[in-house]
Amino acid sequence: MTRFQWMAGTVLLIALVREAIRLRTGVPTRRATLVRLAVWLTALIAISDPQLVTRFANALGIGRGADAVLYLFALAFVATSFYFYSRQVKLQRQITALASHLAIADARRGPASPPAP
Amino acid sequence: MERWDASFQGRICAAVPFFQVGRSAANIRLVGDSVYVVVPAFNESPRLGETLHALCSAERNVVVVDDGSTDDTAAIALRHPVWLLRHPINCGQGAALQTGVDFALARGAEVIVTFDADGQHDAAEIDRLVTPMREKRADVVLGSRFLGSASGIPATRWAILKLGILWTRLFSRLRVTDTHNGLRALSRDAARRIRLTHPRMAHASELLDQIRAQGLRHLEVPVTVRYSQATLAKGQRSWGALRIAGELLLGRLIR
Repeated sequence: MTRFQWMAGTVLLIALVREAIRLRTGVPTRRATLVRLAVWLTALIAISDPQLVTRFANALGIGRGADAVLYLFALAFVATSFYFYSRQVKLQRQITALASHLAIADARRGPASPPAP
Repeated sequence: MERWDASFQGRICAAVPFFQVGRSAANIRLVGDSVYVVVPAFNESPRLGETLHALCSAERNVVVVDDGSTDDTAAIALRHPVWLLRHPINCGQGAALQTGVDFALARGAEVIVTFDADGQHDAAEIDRLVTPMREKRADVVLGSRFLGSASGIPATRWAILKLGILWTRLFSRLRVTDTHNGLRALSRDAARRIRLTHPRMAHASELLDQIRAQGLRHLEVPVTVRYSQATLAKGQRSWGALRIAGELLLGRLIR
């Protein structure tokens, strides 16, 4: 194993153990924890055995394992960008609705006649 | 100083067919009290006083929506006989308009006119927009500076507005001669059916989209738009058109 594999493997193992402990203690976001656990595990396997990624890429008709990883990251980036944009729009609408509600509830009326010019 | 009782608003909306009284009649009476002018304002203290002075001489129901200004916009508005609504934060012109429209509807408005705070419009031209409503010829009346006049308009602004018209004809499939003109009038029915969801400047194009989507009758009337150094400095930058186009395209992809 290379030095990078040792370093990355250690960090990923710590992350895995942390997520596993969180699962055992019963976190409210169980699904998110499971997804993170799967991501760390996949990364650990891919870094420990790069040939596995190459075989996976070949099976998909892609030449190199690194290319497969790049394509997957590109797809994930687009998907998460749309997801976060849509979340941001939804939040913005909720904040606007709240601001509007407060503005109407606190409407004020000026004097009956205009000021002298 | 009079304050708006929001709970009273809820009660009259829920319990009494208050708004239907006028509408159920064969002829909707458009007396002065049923026309509301909504003025969105953000950091407009240098120009708002003059705008409101002219506007209050022409109209009785003026609603200023202070969109989270950090200057004296609210204080200046409250020196005039207007309703003042204040967004606690800056939400954008589209959001300010929707707040003003919602308020006017709750007050029983039959016609809602939108009017820019920076003094570009002429208050005397409001009648020109309200008349087609009175004659039941339209649900939405749009002011057009290209049918009327646009004094002092810079060449770049002219070109961008013309591109905006092309965009509207292409995407909204609406034959209009002007877009993004803040002077327009909506009937009560149109104001209830149109919901502006783009809080910022893209709301003007969204409004045109909704006119078509809702099958509302619309027409354009000539209006005057006056450009000055001050309004151009405060107004939208030309590159803002790109941002609006981006917002609209993304808005079509992501709801």
